[in-house]
Amino acid sequence: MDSVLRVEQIEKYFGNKGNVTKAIDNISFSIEKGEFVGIMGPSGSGKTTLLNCISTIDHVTTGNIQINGTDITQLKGGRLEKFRRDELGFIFQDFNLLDTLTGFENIAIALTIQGRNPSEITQLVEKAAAKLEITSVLNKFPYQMSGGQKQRVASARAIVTNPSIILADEPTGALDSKSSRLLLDAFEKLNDEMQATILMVTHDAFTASYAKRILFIKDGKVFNELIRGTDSRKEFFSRIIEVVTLLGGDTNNVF
Amino acid sequence: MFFKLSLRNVKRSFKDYFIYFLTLTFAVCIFYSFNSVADQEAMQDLSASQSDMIKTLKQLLSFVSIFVSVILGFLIIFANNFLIKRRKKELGLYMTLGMGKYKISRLLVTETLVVGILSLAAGLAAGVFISQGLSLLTASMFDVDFTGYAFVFSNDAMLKTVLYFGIIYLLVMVFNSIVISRYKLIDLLTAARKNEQLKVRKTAVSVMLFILSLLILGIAYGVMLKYGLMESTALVWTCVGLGSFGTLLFFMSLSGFALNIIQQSKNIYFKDINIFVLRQINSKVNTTFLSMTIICLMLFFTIGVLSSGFSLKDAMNRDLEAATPFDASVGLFIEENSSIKDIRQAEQKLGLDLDSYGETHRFTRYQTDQSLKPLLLPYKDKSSEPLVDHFDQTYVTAIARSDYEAIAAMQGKKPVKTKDNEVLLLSSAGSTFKDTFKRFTRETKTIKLNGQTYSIAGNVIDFASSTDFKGLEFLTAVVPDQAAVSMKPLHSITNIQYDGGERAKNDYLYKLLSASMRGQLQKEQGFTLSGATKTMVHETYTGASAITVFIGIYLGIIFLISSAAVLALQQLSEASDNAERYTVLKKIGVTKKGINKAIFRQIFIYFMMPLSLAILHSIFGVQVVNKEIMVAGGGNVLLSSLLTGLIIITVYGGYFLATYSGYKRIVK
Repeated sequence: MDSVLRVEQIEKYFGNKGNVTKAIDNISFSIEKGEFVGIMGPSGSGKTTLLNCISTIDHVTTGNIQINGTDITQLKGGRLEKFRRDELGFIFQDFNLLDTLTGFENIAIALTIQGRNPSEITQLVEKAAAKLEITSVLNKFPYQMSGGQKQRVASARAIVTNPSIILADEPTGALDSKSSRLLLDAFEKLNDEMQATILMVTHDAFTASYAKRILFIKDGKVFNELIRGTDSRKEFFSRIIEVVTLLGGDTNNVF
Repeated sequence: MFFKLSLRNVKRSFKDYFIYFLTLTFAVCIFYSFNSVADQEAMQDLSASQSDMIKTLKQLLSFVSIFVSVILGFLIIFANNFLIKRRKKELGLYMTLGMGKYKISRLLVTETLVVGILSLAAGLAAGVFISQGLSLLTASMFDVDFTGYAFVFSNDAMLKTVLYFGIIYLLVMVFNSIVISRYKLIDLLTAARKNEQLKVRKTAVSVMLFILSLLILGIAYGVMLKYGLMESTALVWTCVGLGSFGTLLFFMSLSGFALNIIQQSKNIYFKDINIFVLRQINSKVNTTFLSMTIICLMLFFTIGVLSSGFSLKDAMNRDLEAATPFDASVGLFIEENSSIKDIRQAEQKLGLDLDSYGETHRFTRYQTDQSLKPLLLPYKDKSSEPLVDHFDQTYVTAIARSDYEAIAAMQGKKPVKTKDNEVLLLSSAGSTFKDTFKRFTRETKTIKLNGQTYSIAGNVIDFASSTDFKGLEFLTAVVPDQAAVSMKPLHSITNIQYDGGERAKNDYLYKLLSASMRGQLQKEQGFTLSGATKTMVHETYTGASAITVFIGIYLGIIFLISSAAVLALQQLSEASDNAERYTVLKKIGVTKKGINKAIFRQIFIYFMMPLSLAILHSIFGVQVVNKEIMVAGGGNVLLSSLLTGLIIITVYGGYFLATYSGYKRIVK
């Protein structure tokens, strides 16, 4: 079985007795190794909650989440921190780079946190940077970089530890369209060449069209699933738009 | 309503204010304790010379207290400024809600008042207790025997404390109002988002500046070690200036350059999240090198003053017994144009009957034509060098053999017999010249005095022919009686051993001799007396060293608290900015333990940076001071260093721990 991520009948409730909001209502899916999956949905659909649960930042109310065979809903304390550190790679909407560190250091710190052997760190960072084409900004500080460069540095930080799965939350949310394209090209490359498993949450149809498979979520449920198959990206984009229109809300982001 | 808001603000931010409050309380406490010392019970029962000493101390203290209050004023305004910076957003919120600047100022004034009154009350309360202990310490430093102990509350000191701190708090209020009136609403609301610009200096420039700073420090150290403190005041101040400038350059250049070195060592650089810690410190040293420099210099002062102060005290109290063989000695300077040629004449003129004081012996001390410098120069060593170098106008003195025998008998010592062509050499400065004399008598067998050559009998003997301040009889030759007559008379001296009633006799002689020292006797009677009573010598030495140590400890502790408080406040005020960075670290997988470790390292390095350079400065500084102290008889450097270390670790370490726990709380 090659599933990197298996989500089994999870539910997440907010609030207390008498005033309960179901943010996630019985969602199940799985992601195989080397897949590039997008999760789309309008605001309030529960997609960020879902990502938070998968990334161990939040706990599910019921159900199981398995990553590489480990049930993360059973992990606690130090083992949870260790799991998050070693198995997951994060890419955030607002980059979350450390402004006092250079690009190189921002990537290297992910390795030093794991306690890697100092002698291999430089080489690993340079390899990751080369893949994301940011070798030229390694010695710059975040405030000297463009938004796209920052996000690619953040992506390099996410992949340099070679995690089981990369979780990206609105990675293009703070980028202009050119930078978005560069970043997504890089994602595609990572996915194709390194068999990196990527789970990306977005509400932007263009960003989503880079994925191989898209899960649509509405009101905490899986509403639809699109598989790109052999479609070109343009065709895939049109199909996404159709579903988005069907979904109702959030068309503002498209037109 | 208004008062309630301020009160609640103080209460709510009490944890943030903790260090501020603690510092204020400390400052008040120390200020009160030191100023109240002279009023303590233990200081009431004193001899004439002791009460003079305490008077001097009191005067000095009031001067020093003005200086201290200026320092504390700066510190408090600085600390307060940090706190306002932290609260910019809150103040902006008040403003958007429609509170005018005047009202906000009033709010802050009320808050300052509340914190001020609380800290004053707490500080005074603590001070009342601390001062009791301090007075006991002082009493023992001044060698005062206190019979009764009573709990004393000094009204004067309290009023002074309230007045001085009242003025400081008033200044803080004025300062706050000015700061508030100059803020714009937009700045207040976006204060949190503004990032400090990082200054990036070229590494090569940093390295050059660093090397330059080391050179400057090296020159300052070298010059001081070579010439010492006594050579010239201008030189000392130049070295202090150079040292300060070198320190400034050191911290200015260190940031751009230390990081590069550490980056070479992959094992440190890539360990845990050291990358982050190093960058944190680096980014701050870039902008805070000035405060680092000041803190370093203040710490240097503290360490230097405390450790040399303690060893000075130790050194001063040595050899006192040897220098004071008689209860009192009164001497007359014999001047050619004066009609008074003899101490007995002087006594008669003053109506002083020294024979009624107890057993007496009168003798004359002569001056030979043998200069000391050529005699001892070849044998000088580290301890005697500073003195020998200045012996141009100092000659070997002489006393007649019969006088020597009488003086020795009066001291209860067995006189050393000498032959007619022999001289016996005596010295009361034996501890400084010990090795010099040894080499001298080994190499030199004869001495020429007033055209007559004598052979030297044995070694130089530790012997004081009269009671006087330490070490004034550098080298005295005991010559045959007939040879002495032809020499130039220098002093005519009466030695006295009391037969009871010491206190009154001591006080009378003290007044007489100190009047002579002031030149009063010369004006009224036409002659000058020298000499001392045993008590006077003891009290002068212990008193002088005690005053130095006392003022030193006072300033030292104030400086120590100030520097630790500045460091702590700087760290804490930056903690809230850094909270975001720590959140990012948490997000990318750093454990709570890892974060605490990083915080610890960051604060530790930040606290240690100025301290380590200050310690280095002190190692040289204390050596220089010790060279001078050795002249006074040598001190116990190890013990005083340990004592200083203990004080520093307690105060500085306490602030460090308080900062660490406060920082953790803010980041959490």
